[in-house]
Amino acid sequence: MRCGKARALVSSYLDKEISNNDLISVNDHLKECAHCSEYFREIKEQDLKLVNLSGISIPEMDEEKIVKYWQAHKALQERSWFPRYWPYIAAPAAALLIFAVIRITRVNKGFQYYDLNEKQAKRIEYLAPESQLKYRAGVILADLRNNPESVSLDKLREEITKGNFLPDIQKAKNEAIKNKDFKTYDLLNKIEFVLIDIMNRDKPDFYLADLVQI
Amino acid sequence: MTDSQVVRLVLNGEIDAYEEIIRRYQKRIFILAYRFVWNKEEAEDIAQEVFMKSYKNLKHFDQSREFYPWLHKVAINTVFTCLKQRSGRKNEIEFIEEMHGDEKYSPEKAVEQRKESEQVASALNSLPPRYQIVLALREIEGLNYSEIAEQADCSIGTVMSRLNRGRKKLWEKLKRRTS
Repeated sequence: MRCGKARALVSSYLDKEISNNDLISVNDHLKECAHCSEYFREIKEQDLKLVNLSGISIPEMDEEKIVKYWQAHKALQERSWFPRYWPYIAAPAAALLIFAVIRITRVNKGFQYYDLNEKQAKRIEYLAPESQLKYRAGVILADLRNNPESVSLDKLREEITKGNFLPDIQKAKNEAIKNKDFKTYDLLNKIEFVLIDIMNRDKPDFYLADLVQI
Repeated sequence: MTDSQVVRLVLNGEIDAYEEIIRRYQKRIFILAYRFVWNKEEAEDIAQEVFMKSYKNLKHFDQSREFYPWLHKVAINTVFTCLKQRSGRKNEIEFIEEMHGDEKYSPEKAVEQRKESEQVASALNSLPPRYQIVLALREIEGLNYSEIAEQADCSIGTVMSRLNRGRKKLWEKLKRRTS
C-alpha cells in the first residue's frame, strides 16, 4: 500500500469503519512507514483533543430567554390575523386593487361611457376629456331632439348620475382653467348649469330649450 | 407526557404546549450549539432560532419517529447556516478572546490545558463549515457515520471523505501553529 492510499484511510481506520482487507494493508504499511505511522499517531492525538472539548464546562444559559421570546412570538401570532389569513386576502385584494386602478384611470380620463353604446364609446375613447364631455352632451341632446317624449326626466337624471357627469365636468373645468382655455370653460360651465337644472327642476321644456341652445 | 403527545397537542392547535418542548430541550440544544460556536450569546441565539424553526416546520415532522433526532437535525442545519455566514468574518484572535470571556475557563484550570483547548477549538472553528460539522458531530457529539450522514443530510461516503479531509486540514493547521 502506498502512503497516499493509507492516509486516505486514516478516518475509517481510527473510527473502526474499515474493511478487514484494508485494515490488514494499513497495519502492514504502518509497520514499514515511519512517516505514516507518525501521521496516524498525531491524528489520533488530535481526535483525543477534540473529544476533550466535549468535557469542557459550558456556561449557564439564560433558561428564560428562549421561553420569553417564544411567548412574545406566540402573543404576536395570536394578535395578528394577517399572516395566517393573507393567502385568502391577497387574491381578492389584488383583484380589488386592479379594479380600482382601472377605474381611477378611466375616471381620470374625464369620462365614463358605460351609458353610451359600444361604437360611440370607442369613437370617443382617444378624445380629450373636454371633447368627450361635449360628445356625451351631444348624444343626450340628440336623444332629446329626435325623440323628446322617449326621454323621461327621471331617466335623464339617472343617466346624469350614473354617467358621473357633474364631477367629470368639474374636473374638466379645472383642467380648462389650468390650461387657460376659457372658451371650453364657458361651455362646460353652461353644460354644468343645465345639468344642475335638470337635476333640480321639474320643467322639461325649459331644460330642453337650454340644451338645444348650447 | 411524551414528546409525541406534546407535538400532537401543538399540531391540534394548543400552541402553549410547545413551551414544554422548549423547556425540555433548550439546554441540550444550547450545549450543542455552544460546542460549535464557543460563544454563549451566539449559542443562545442559535437555540432560539432552532425552536422557532422547528415550531414553524412541526407539521413536516414524521410523528412515527423520535422527536429529538429531528430537533437535533434542525439544530445542525441552523448551526451550519450560522457557521457559513460567519466563516471568514471572525478571525482567530477574536475567537480566543471570546473564549476567554466565557466562564468555562476559570482561573483555577490549568493554563496549559486551557491553551491547548483554545488552540484546538480555534483551529476547528477556522475550518470550512462542512468539515467542522462532521468532525464535531463525530468527535464531540460521538455520533457514528450513519448518524452523521442523517444529521448532515449527506451520504456515508461523503461523511467519510469529509472526515478525512477535515482531520487532515485540522492537523495541518495545528502543525503550522505549533511550529
